[in-house]
Amino acid sequence: MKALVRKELYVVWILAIVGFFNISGNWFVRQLVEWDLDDSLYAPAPRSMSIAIFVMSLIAGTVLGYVQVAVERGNNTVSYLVHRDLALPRILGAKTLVAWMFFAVVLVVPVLLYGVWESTFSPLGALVRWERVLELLVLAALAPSAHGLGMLVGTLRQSIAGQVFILVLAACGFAAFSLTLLSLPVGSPALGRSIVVGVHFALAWGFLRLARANFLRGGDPDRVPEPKALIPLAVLGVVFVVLPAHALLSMVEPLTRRGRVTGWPTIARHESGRIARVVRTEAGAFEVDADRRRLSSEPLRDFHLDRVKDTAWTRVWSPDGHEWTDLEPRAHTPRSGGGLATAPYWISIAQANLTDPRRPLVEASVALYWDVEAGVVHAAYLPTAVPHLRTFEHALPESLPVEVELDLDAGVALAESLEGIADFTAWEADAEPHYLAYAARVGRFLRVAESTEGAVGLEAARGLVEVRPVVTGSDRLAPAVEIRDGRTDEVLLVHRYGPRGWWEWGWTGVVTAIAVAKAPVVVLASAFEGDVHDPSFGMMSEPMVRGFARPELLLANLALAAGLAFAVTRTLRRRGASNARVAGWGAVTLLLGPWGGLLFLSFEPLPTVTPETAPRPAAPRLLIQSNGA
Amino acid sequence: MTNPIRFRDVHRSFRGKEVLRGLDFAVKPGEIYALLGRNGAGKTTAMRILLGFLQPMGGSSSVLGVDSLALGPEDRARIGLVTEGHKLYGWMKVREVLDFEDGTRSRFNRAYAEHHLRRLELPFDRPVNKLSRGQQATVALLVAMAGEPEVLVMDDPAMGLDPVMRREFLEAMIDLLGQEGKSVLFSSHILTDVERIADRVGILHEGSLIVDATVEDLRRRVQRRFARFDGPSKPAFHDLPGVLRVQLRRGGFDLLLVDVDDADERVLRERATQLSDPAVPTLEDLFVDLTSRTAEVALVEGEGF
Repeated sequence: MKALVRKELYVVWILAIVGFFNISGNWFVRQLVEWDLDDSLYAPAPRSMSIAIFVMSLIAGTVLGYVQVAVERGNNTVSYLVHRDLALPRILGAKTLVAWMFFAVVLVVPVLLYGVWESTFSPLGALVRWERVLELLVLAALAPSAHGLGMLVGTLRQSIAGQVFILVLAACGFAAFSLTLLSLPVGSPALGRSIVVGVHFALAWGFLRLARANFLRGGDPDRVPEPKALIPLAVLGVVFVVLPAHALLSMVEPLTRRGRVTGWPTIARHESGRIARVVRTEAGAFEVDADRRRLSSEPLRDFHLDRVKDTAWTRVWSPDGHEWTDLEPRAHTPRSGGGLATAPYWISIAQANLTDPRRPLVEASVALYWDVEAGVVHAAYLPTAVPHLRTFEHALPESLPVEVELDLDAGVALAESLEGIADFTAWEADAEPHYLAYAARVGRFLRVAESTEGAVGLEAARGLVEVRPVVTGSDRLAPAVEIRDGRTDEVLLVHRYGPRGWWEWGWTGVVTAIAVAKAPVVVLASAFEGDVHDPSFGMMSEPMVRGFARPELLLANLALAAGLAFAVTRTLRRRGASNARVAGWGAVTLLLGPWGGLLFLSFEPLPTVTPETAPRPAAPRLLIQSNGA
Repeated sequence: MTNPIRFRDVHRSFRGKEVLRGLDFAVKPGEIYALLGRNGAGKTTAMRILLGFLQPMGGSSSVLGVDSLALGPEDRARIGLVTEGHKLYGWMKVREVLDFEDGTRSRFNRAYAEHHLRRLELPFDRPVNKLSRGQQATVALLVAMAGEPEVLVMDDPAMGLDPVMRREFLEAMIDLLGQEGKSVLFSSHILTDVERIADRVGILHEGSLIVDATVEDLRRRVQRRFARFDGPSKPAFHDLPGVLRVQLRRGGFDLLLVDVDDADERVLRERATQLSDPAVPTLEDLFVDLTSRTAEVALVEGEGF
C-alpha cells in the first residue's frame, strides 16, 4: 500500500503545494493589501471564500478523480497496475487516499491557517468566529464525493471528448445538487452541517464503489459500464449549466436587451425637473433620442443622475458636474434557516465627506450580521474609504446593535442604530429588474441604490424618491419604461427598449436560434410565468417567451424537442431496447430538447449488443495440429 | 498434470465483429507457446481474456486451473505479465520500479531483479522513459520474472522494437527463460524470434487457430513445392492430397503441403507436369502463406490433420 501511495503522490504532491500556496497565499496577500469584509472570518460567512472553497472542491475533486483513472487508461497501464497480488479496492483506495490528502492540503489546511492567522494577527481578531471556519470545512466535504464522481466518469468506455463532456455535465449537475443540499432548511446549523457532510461522504462511497466495478469493465466496449448512474446528474447538469449559460448570454447579448446594455439611455434629471436621455462622452453628456441619435451638439449641464455601468446605477453627479462618488450597492439576503446561512447584508451608503469639498460624499458600508444561532442582528459601520487593514486599525468598526425592520418582498431593510442616524436600504442582489437608481437624502446620508418598483414605492411613500421607474407591458425583455416623478407621479419620460439597427436585429436572430435549443419544460414554465420573483427560478426561465411573449419561438422549441424525442425512441426501438429504456430516453429528450439528444448520444454511444449466450461454432478453414509427441 | 494455460472454445466479438471464433488450445507445463497472428488477429484479445480483463462471449479460459474471470490477487501473484508495449510507469527510475514492485508484490525477488539488471548493464538511476525501447522491454520482462511466477504471459513483448533492440531483447529473454522451466505464453508477429525460443506455435487467423503444433513438427510435416499443370489454369486443388494453400506463380503454382506420404507423392507427380523437390518452409514463410490475402491465393477447405 505504501508503494502505491508513493506512486500516486508522485504527481499530486506538486499540485498540492501549488494549490496550497495559491489558495492560502491569495487570501493572505489580499487581506494584507486590500482588506475586504467578504474575505474575513468575522461574523458573516465569508462569501468569496465560500465560493472559492466550493468551486475548488468541485473542480479539484472531479478533475483529480478523473485524471487519476484516465491517465492509467491513456498510458495503457491499467493491466500493469491491476495485475499484482493486491485487491482492486486497495489499488483504488491508494488513489483515493492520496486525493483526500490533496484535498486536506489544498482546502482544509489553508482555511485553518487563515483562521489562526486572522485571530492572532488581525486587529479584529476578537471578531473571528470559528463557526465560519467550520462552515468552510463543511463545504470542502464536497471534494471527496466529487472525486468519486470524477473516477467514475474516468472508467466509462468513451472517447476523451465524450468523457470530458459527461464529466462537465455530471459535475454541473452535482454542483446543482450540492447547492440544493446546502440550502435545505433544517432544524439547526449543526444538523445541517452533519447532513451535508454525511451525504457527501455517502456519495463518495457510492461513486467509488461504482468506479471500482467499472474499472476493468470500462475496457470492454460491449459492456457499457453503468452510465445510468450518471444520467440524473447529467440531466441536472444540463439544467444547471446550459440554461443559466444562455440566461447569462441573454444578459450580455444585444437582443432587445441591447437597449438595456449599451443602448439603455442614460437618464438624467435637470434641475428644472426635466428628464432626458443622455449619453456620456469625454466631451460631456449629450441628450439623445430613443435611437440614441444626438439631439444637440452642446453638452448638457446641471444634471443630477448618471448611469455609467451596465447593470447598476453607480455614480452620482453633483449639480455642478463633479462626481460625488462611485457606489456599488451590494446586498445579500440573510437566510434565517439552514445550516450554513449567515450571509450578511452589506450595504453601501454615501457619507458626507468633510475633508474634501470637491467630493462631498464618500462611500461607506454597513454590514448587518445576522447571527442565526443567537437570533440577533448586529451592524458594523465600515468606512470603506479606509479599506486597508493598516488604516483600519485606526478606525475600528463599531459593532452596533440595531433594530431591523425587514420587508423582503420590497427588498428593504430599515435599520436604526442607537444613534438614529442609519437608515439603510438593501436589495436582492439577483432580483430583476434593476431599472433605475435613485438618490435620496436621509439625515446626513445620501442613499444611492438600485430600485425595484416595490422599494421605490415604499420610498416614495416616505417622500424620499426623486424619480421613479414603472415598467409597462408584459414583455420583460423589451419593456417600455415610464420614468415618473417620485412625488407627483407625473410621467417624465417614456422609453421603449428593443433592437435597433441591423447589428442588433442580427444578434436578436442568433440569440433566438440559441433560445430554441432551450428545454421545453423550462420554456413552458416561462410561458406561463408572467413575472419572476424567485431569482433562482428566474435564472432557469427563458425571458424571450415569458408570458407568451413570442409564441412562435415556443412552438418551434416544442416541435424540435418532439422531433428529437421521436428520433431517439425510433433509434432505440431499432436496437431492440426495452420499453422502459425507450420511454426514459424519450422523456429526457422531450423535456430537455436538444440537450437531451446530446445526453442520449453521450450515454448511448453503442448499439445495445447483448453478449451471445450460445457462441457460434468456429469455422477454421485449415488446421494443423500436433500433440507435440 | 493440469495444463497451466487453457482456452476452451473462446468466442469474443467487438461491436458485432467476431474477433475470436472458438479459440481452443492449451499450454503444457514448462512449455513456451508462441501465439502468432497478424495485427488484429485477436492475440491481445486472447491475452486479455486469459487474464480476466475481458469477458468472453462464449467458452472459457483458465490459468493455473483458475477460471480467468475468478482470478484473485493470490492467483495473480503466480502469473507474470509483460503487457503489450511493455508498459511501466515512465517517470519512475529503474530503482523506483523495483521499489514499487517490491512494495506491491509479495513474491517479488528483488535480489534476482538487481542481479540481472547489473548483469545486463541496465542503469538503476535512469527514468524508464529515458531507456531505449529494448531496455524498457527487458526491464518489464525482468520485473515480471522477479515476481517468481509459475506462468508467464507476454503480450507482444517485442512490439515497437527495431531489429537490433529486438535481438538484444530476445537474447535477454532466452537467457532469462532458458533455465527457468516456466510455462510461457507469448504473442508475437515477428517469426524469426519465435523459432529460436518457442516449443510450440499457434497461428491465429481471422479469429481461428489454424496452426497449433510444435516447431519441430511443422518443419517435419510441412513442405513447399513448385508445380506446373496442364489443362485448366486452376485445377481442382481440393482433390490434391495434403495441400494447404496454393499460390499462383509465373508458369505454375507454389504449393504448401502437409504430411505428404508416398501415395500422395505419386498422385502429385501424376497430376503435375512439373514438380520441384520438397523444401522446408521457414516459419515466416509458413505464417505468410497461411495468413496472407493475396488475390492469387486459393484456400483449401479440408479436414484438420
